[in-house]
Amino acid sequence: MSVELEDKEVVDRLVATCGTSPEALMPLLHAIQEHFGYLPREALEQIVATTEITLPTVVSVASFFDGFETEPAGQHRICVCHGTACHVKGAELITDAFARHLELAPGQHTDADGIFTLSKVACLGCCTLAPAVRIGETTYGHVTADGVDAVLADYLARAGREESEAPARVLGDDGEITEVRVGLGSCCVAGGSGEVHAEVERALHRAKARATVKRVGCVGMCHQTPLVEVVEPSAEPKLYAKVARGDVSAIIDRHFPRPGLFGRIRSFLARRIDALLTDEAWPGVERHALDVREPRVADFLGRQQRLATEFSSELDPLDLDEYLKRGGFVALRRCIDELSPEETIGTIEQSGLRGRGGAGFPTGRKWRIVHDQRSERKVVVCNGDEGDPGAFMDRMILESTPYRVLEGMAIAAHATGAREGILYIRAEYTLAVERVGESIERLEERGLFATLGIELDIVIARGAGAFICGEETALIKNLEGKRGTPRLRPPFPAVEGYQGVPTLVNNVETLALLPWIVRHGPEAFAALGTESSSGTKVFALAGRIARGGLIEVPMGITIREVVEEIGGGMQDGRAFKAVQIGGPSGGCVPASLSYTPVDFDALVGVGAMMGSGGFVVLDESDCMVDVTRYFLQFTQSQSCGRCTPCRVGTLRMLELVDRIREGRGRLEDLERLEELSRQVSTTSLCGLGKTAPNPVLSTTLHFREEWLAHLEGRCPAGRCKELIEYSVTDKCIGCTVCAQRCPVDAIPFTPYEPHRIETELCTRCDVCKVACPVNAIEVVQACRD
Amino acid sequence: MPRLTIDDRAVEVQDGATVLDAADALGIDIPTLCFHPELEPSTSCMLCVVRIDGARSLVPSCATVAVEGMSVESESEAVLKARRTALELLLSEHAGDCVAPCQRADQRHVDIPSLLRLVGDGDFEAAAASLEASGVNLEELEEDEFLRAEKACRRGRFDQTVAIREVMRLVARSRGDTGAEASDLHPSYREYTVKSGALSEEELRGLVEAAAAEGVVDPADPSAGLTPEEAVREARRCVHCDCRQAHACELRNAGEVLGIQRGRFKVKRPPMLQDHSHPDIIHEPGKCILCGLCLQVAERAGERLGIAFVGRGHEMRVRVPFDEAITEALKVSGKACADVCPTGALVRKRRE
Repeated sequence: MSVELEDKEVVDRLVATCGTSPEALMPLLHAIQEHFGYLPREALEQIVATTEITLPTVVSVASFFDGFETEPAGQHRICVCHGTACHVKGAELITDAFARHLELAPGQHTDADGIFTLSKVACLGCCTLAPAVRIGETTYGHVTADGVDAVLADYLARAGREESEAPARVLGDDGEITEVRVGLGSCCVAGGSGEVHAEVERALHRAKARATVKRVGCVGMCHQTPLVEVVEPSAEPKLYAKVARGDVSAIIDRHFPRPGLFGRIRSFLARRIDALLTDEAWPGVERHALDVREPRVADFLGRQQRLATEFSSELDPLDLDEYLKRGGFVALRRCIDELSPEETIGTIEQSGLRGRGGAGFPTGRKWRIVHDQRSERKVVVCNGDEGDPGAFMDRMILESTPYRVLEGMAIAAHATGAREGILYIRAEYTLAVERVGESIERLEERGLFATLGIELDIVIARGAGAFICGEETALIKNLEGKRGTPRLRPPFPAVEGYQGVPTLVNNVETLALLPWIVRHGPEAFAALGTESSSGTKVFALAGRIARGGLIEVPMGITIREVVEEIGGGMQDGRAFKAVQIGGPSGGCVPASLSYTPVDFDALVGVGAMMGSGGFVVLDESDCMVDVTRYFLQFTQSQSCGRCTPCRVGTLRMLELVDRIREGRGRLEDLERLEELSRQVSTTSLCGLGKTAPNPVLSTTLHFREEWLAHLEGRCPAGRCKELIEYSVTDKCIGCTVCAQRCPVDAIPFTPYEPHRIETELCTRCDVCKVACPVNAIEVVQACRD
Repeated sequence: MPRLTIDDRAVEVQDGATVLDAADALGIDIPTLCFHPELEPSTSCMLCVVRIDGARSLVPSCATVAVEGMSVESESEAVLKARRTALELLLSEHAGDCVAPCQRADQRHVDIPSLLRLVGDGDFEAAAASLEASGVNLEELEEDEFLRAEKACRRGRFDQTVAIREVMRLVARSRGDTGAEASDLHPSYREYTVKSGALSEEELRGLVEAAAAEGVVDPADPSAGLTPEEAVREARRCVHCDCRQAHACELRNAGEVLGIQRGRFKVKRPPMLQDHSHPDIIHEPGKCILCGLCLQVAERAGERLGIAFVGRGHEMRVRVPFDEAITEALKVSGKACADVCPTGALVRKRRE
């Protein structure tokens, strides 16, 4: 049998599973890519031959998404995260370093041996590990330009050895037992909690301990991953942070005294040892720290109020019984038994809930519109296409408490009269897709919806790496198997949505709040927050602060409170400069306005936006022109291409920003940029284009002097490559470390003599500055002729 | 039957009618590019934007359904500014001139490229009739007739300019008595033209190759002028850097109405490329505004391969799937696609 024929049969099998209608296209493309590693032409032709889908549709949809490959790639894919937090911590330098290391020519992505393919991803959602890189399934945090060779070596070494399965343990079934909780959100897994989890199982087995190991969702303290919590029946829970695999047995020994004298001595010692050594230390990548005895961080959690993320750190995400025990589906039951659809909508209206996806449209009002449509068929869509670089709350909610999101969808379905539900999730969120999928299966097995008397069929749809699909009309188009291009509203999806029927699109966080609101009453929710923005909001706190992570705070808390009380103030003692709120659609709020409350309207008032909840703290070493360029570059690259102002206008804006950033700009360029920004914002078709200029407009308003400095050829923060030089101060001890590390030989090898950097050769990669043991390398403003 | 006002003028329209329809009923001219009455609105060019009820954001009138009581602004300064910006953005990426340098330079602005195409087809009589219709006295050509045009010929930078004077002399002598009609000329010359500036050597080579243009012609007897056969070959040296849609191009019309010159955004324009491989049409991707009307036409015609939007955002292009030949892509709908193209990106090779 020829290879080609086999390939065709593969596609035929996939078509048999996914179907032949236009909506089957995305699932088919995913399945084909999973099978072949890319989308071979023959496979695409076979789709056309066996389904209703046309060739132009297949090609145009496949080419719309960054996640689909049309060429075979290397064996392993290196994904350098270019999320906001990673950007401010030097993702660009990391990408350059990988390209240098793999000897990639410009435009080339796969190395000569076909082993690695280098790619950029919008956001891995591990902002607290920034800069982060994922190779295959392994995520590396705190990567440095200098350490990329170590990362690759480590990856190849790991790829060679299979992880052994954790041994099975026999548990007694009487009495209360100790619970060891291991955080298994994506951040924790990225921090190495998968290994830690296996090691906990092994250590408990060795200690013959009576305990259950439970995987739980996200605690939110992503700056401390991996996290292990030991909950003994009659003691305060102990939370261990930054646990490495080698630390596990000491932790277990502390809590579970070993039988026998020798064992008891060991346990005693374990309780006394202050610092534990990790089993391996390797340069370039931060191994998680040694001190595992950090108590619950009261400040970090103190100001938070967990509504949307309620129980996320305590529940096994997939354990339906546990969810039911903790009040799961009580809200849904109440809606069905006690509240008519009208009353359910009334409850949500009364709570003042506004959509958490960014625009803040009143949720109850949206529901009422869908409810009032006279249509046999209605659909509820959960928008989990969280694409903002720097935001990962939806991922965390889906991973940690999938049943809560499903309950929220069911409540929305009850209120609006929908009997179909679709969860649209980014394909990058593999763990979320997996867990939600399993939750749906378990719900069906149990027949829970049927028992409650609700008819609702929920399916999962996956995106493939196009930010624009978070826009509701684009999302719906993609669900229908078309390119994710937004369309003009009205008609709004609530009136005419998926396949022409009334469709309710709600964001993950919005849906996750519903059970709480119904259980505690709308008044309790409305009592939190401010008059125009009730309740809480989840933020991804990252950037130059001591403690980052996912936080849920009452609306109305001030920016400064978040930075100082929850974030623990600035890192490295530098001065707080601004907060970028709302991601690429948002803006920068300067430190001088940090008493602004976090509230939909107050943020818009200072030129920012709630957006989807990115909260990136910037300090004096961050250049606002550079930050602006970063966000603009992101939206520009994510434009769907449909309308002129966004497709062409954002690129012309980016070119103007580049001129200025590189010191080639003139005052007219700045004025032209501002004028064009206003035009793009008023004439673009959808929210992406309308908000893309926000970073420009907010920084030219609040940080005008920095823009003007660039017009004069200065970058005050010393970040813009074209405007800075590296130079060696007289602190140099002649140790040659910088000369050895310089990737382009721009530092002559002169042992015992002060070193010198040849500016013409220097690529400003920052490696020497990081490597210098005596901080003798500084960044200075470039000399200009 | 909703009633609305546009620029304070009241109008009543059919249910489901758009704001553009309403403006039409009032005789208010709203420029459009990506709109075609028989196809789905593309809402792409954003030239037809209007402001509704004083909202901050503008909306495309072609797809906005008229609603009772709506108050529409179509000719306010803000709206005109937005239209101008959209057009400037489109023109900043436009590769190609409305009028070829030869025609622009010529005293009478004779449509020389069209005449050369007639000669290239060997149709001297039609060429002669057309030349006469352009106001040239065929009895006695002036000494420096077409000298300026010839000097402006872009092909000069590649090898030699097309010998326009020699070819036209022969054309002038070919007036027959068969009553051939002037044909295939652009009806009238207009001052307004988009200019793309000098073509690179690479672009010129590309145009020469795409048009399968002849190489330099050495006349057998230079003193006697060109023989008809030599004139045909000489005429086929033209690289067709004119725009064959210039007489009916909506981009040009809009540019003229809104008074746009290219230049506010200084960027490197995309290369000027032509694909002549299709028997009926020429494809010039540098003139495409990505409205997607041709995609709809090809789809309705049931083309198997067809054409598609490939890529996303600024990288998006109208392309044939898997970069197959356009002859394979548009087997039946080539001309129909060209007929809906608002610019010169897809044009018929010959007018019929």
